[in-house]
Parts: sequence; structure tokens; C-alpha cells
Amino acid sequence: MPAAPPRPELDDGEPTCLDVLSVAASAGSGAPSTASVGVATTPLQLRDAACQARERADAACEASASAAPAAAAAAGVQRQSGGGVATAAAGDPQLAAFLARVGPAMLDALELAPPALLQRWGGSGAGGGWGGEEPAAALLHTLQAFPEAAAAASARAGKHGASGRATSAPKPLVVTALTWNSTGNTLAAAFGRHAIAGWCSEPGALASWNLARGAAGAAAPDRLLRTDCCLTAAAFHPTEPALLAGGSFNGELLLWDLGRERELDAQAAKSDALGEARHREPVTALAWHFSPAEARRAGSSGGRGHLLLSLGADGRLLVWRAAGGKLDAPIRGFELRCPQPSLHSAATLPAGGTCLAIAGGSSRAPGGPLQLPAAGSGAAGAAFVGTEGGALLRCHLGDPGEDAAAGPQQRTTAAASASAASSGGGEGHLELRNPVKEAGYERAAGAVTGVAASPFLAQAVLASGADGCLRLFHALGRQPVLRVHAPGGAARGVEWSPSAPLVFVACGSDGAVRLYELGAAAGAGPRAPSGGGLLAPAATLQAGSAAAAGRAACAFNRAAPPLLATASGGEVRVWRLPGALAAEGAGADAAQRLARLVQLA
Amino acid sequence: MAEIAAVEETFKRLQSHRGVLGVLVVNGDGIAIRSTFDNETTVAYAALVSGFTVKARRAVRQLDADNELRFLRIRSRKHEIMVAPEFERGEYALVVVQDPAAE
Repeated sequence: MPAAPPRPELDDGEPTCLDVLSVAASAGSGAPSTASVGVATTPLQLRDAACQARERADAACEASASAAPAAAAAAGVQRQSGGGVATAAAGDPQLAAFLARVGPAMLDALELAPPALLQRWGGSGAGGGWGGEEPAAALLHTLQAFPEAAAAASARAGKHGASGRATSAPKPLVVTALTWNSTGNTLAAAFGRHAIAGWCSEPGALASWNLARGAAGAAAPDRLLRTDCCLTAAAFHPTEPALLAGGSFNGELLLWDLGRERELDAQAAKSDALGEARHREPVTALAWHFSPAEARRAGSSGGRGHLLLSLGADGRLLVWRAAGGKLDAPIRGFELRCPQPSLHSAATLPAGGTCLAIAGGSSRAPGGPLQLPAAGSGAAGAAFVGTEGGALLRCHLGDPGEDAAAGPQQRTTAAASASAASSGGGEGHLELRNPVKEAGYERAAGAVTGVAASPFLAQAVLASGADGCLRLFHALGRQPVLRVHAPGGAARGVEWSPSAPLVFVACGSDGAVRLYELGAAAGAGPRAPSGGGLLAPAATLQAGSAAAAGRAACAFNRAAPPLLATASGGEVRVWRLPGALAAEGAGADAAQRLARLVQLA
Repeated sequence: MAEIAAVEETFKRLQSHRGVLGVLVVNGDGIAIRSTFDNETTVAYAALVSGFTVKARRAVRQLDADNELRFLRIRSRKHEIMVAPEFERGEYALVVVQDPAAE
């Protein structure tokens, strides 16, 4: 091939087809199209002949092998024990010279890409081989709370009454919160709406699925509990499998005991809608928090040591004694007030809370495999609250020891409110304290939509913002250690994996849930990635049906960490995460890497 | 005999590299003249890789007639195939198959 031909050289003789066709058309001026049919088969045969490159090569290989080595079998099936194909050629001086020239280059190339490096190119690395894709998360269940409503929605023709009561709502309800129970068998979803203007007059629902019963009956919920008002939050008790708390759009707290059979009985308690100490706006977050003092007070009985915290969009954070299945007036109340930079320095306004996380893994059972941080770390027992204004607040919720020391006034208030609530009165006066200890964290440009404290490291706090940025803070540092810009617009929530310290998920507003693995960032050194934004999702899950993609929600199963529940629209999906992202084994090492990543500069 | 020793030595060095599954030398006709694979694998690699190499070379030469293909790296999910062809003299190509997941 001395020089390039003027025309690009096309291989395999493809263009003959066109040429012959044109000839046929010109020749057969009178005759119709039968000639062109006959022509069309000819190039097909030609291509078949050209495609047999592999067979041709085989034949060539046999021919040479039989020609060059006299010892080799002429039939072409060479069974040589030495491993070489044509050993007679080994003495070829040409070959030796060739190898002398090319061998070093090949060795360089091998050095250039050691396997470890290739593995890193391949993907997130941990155990998935170098090949790139992790084994993807497996979709185990697709759950619908209102199967008939979903069917009707797809074929909605204005005849709502025809297909039963579930279609009485004009728009299908969407999942607003997901929670797993303590055994990891039951998944509950709170149904409501995200965009409600004014007062909510539409009913909501709570659906629960027992996944241990098998996949067959999993599509329809085991329990479907109707509520007067859209639900906005839900949280299972961390040790009692049947106890579930929910918050509604009009500020009510509900408590269900799913162990009770009948639907009417299932609702164990409801907060006093007329009391003074209540939420006046939607409940945005619920959390169960283990309180040692409460446990002492309740004695040794089971899960009574947990208090229920509820956060409202009115900026109130109320503490309820709910573990016993009763819901009296709150025993403590707080009002979030953070300094407004635009106002007079002393003036503070209540800040509407949007999300809540308690450092120290409150949702784990006490005595679990959890190392609580040292007492002086400033993060133990702290609650992190995100607000509508974009501020992240660290709050101190009055640890119970201090509570006891706070004097009789507090305790009598609690006692009085308890008795007042039992007698149906609205008298329960509650002093609302300001719990904010730190409000100087870097603000999100928009509401903080989710906050999570690592169950492995109480100081590692993640916050997601409506600006689409995920920020990883050290609890004592105001500037984030890491910023990750999530694709898909506003982030709608964030949660740490309960088993893999470096894994977290972020819910998008585009109906996708993204899993992130901090391994790469942690390996690069403590402060290096703070410019950030380079962390790509390790996996992206479609949280619900693509037709009704909206704000996504997700919940890790703490009893069985590879299970992740996601929801978007009205559909709930349960995924089994691949081993690398569930990572039950690598806890201690990964926790140390997380600690190095978030350490203060 | 010195040549044979040199060939053996180069093969050994390549073969002993971490993750290397096999080494073969293919001549210009797509025939393996030396291989550490078994016969079937050798024939398949020799035929397919040499065909691919010729096409890759043609692409390089069509883009620039003065250019020449020197090295080819094919990364797949399981393996990496590295080809060092030499077209000017003898038209041999050295092929190394690597499994980078191997420790």
C-alpha cells in the first residue's frame, strides 16, 4: 500500500448492489420489476462470501501449520503439549528480532496499566471487578397501594364512580414518606400530596406491605389505613415492629398499632387537634430518639425509652412520649429561631423546619453495634434541622439529665400537660425554648430538603438542598467538607446507608434515587475534593413508574441493609443493592476513611 | 539458538507479568506462529485479532497516509487485549491478553 487511494477505500464490496440495480433499471426499460428482484439476491450472496473471514483464517492457519512444521499434524487439529502452535518458527531469526523490538514496548504497556489502575477506571472499585458496571441493583418488588386507582388513572375517562372508592380522589396520591419497621419485614408508605395550597381537605392514606409473606401478594398492600388528611411523614418505632407514627398536613400526629386487626382499631392514638402545644402547619419530619432518662423512668419495659420528635413547618419541634401507644400532650417543645442577617441583630424569626436528623443513630436499638462519639465531640445527642430558608441548624434538645436538673417547673409542666390532655382540656401550657446552637453552616440556595447524620460517625452530616447540592459537613465546621452537585435538579432528601459508611443516597425531584459512594473522595485525601462536584452517582435507580415520575423518597432497611425502598409518584419499589454498595463486611475500615474525610482542617 | 533463547525469555517475561493470561505472535496471514494459549483459543485470537488489526491500521492510514498503527489496546469487561503490530518488517504482531481483575 504505497499511497492512499484518492477515493476512500470501502471494504467488503458493498456498493455493487447499487451499481447493478441501476444497470437493471436501464436495461429493462420495458420489463417490470422482476429483474431487480433477481439482482437483489446476488449482492446478498456476495456479502455472505465476504463475511467468512473467520473460516478463511482458520483454513489459512491449518495450511500453514501443516506446511511449516513437519511434525505437526497435517489435519489441522494440533495437540501440542508444549503450548506453542508452530514451534518450528521459534528459531526464525526474524521472529526474534521482532520480539526484541516489540517486546519492550509491550512490557511498557503492561506497566502502564497495572490491574489496580484498571480496576479504578472500571468503576467504583470495591469488588465489582474491573469491568465497569457494578452488578446493578435488583428490583425485587413493585408495590402499589391503589392498584385499581393506578389502572383507572391510565384509562381515566371522567367516570370516577365506576371503579370504586379509590378513585374518588381527583388525582392519585403520591408517596410522601417511606419507613421500614424494626424487623425489616414491613414497609410502610405515607400517602399525601406535595403541592397543596392552603388547607388540606383531601384524605390521605397509609399503606403497609409485609414483604416476608412473599412476592405473590406484595403488589397490593396488607394494610391500607385511610386518614382524614394528607400524610406528610411517617416513622416506625425503632424496636417495636408494629408501632408507627405519622404526621399529617394539618399538623396532627397519628400513632398506629399495625398489630391490631381491624382498620378502626389500628389507629392507636392521635394528637389533640385543639391543644395549644401542637403543630399548626404540616408535620415535616418524625424521628424516634432513645432517651436514657426516659428509659429509667419507664423501667425496663421494652422500647419505652424512645421519645418521638416531630418537626413542623411552623418551626416547632415537639417531643412526645409515644412509645406506649398513647399520645398525650408533648413533654417538651422547642421553637426554631435563627438570626436573620437582614434584620436587627437581636431579632429572630421562627424558621420552618423541613427535615430532621439526630446524630448518634437514634433509630438504632440501644446497645447496637454503634460507637457513640465522645461526649465532648459536640455532636452527641444533637439534632440537625434543615429549614425552608436554606439554613442548617444544629439543635440541642435538652438531654434528659439536664432535664431533670432543670427543676421542678419543667417536670410539673409535663405532668400537668399529661393530665390535662387526658381530661381533654386544651390547657397544656408548654414553654417553647429555642434549641438552636449553631446556625452558621453554609446555606443552601433554597430550602434544605433533607439532612442525615451518619450512623457510623455522628459528626458527619449530609444536607441536601433544593439547589441540587449535597453538602457534607463536619458537625463543628461551618464550611462543607464536600459538595456534590446532584444531577436531576433539586435534591429531595438524603440518607446514609446503615451498613456501608461511605455510601449514601439522594432523592431527586426527577423521580430518580442516586447512590453515591464516597470511596473515591475518601481515598484522595481529606481536603482535596472540597471543590467538589466531581462525585458521580455509583448507581441511579428509577424510584417509581416512569409515567408518574416526581419527587422521590427512599428508605434503607436497617435490619437487612441491602434492601432499599424507593418511591416516586404512587409506586413503591424495593431494591436489593449490589454487594459493593451494601458492604456489610468493610465497616471499620470504611468508617475510618469517612472519619478522615470529614475531619476538620 | 541464541534467537530461540531470546524469544523464550521475552515470552517468559511477558507471561510472568501480573494478570497476563497469554501471549501469542501472529504473522501477516493471521496465523499464530507462537502461543501460550491452547490451540482453539490461539486460532480464534489469531484470526480475529489480526483481522481487527488490519482494519485498525487501514483506518489510521486513511486518516493520514504517512501514519502507522503502533499499538492497539482493546478493553472489554473481562479482558484487555493488547496488540503490538509491526507492518514494515515481516508483518508480525505480538498479542497479549490480560485479565486485570487478577491479583
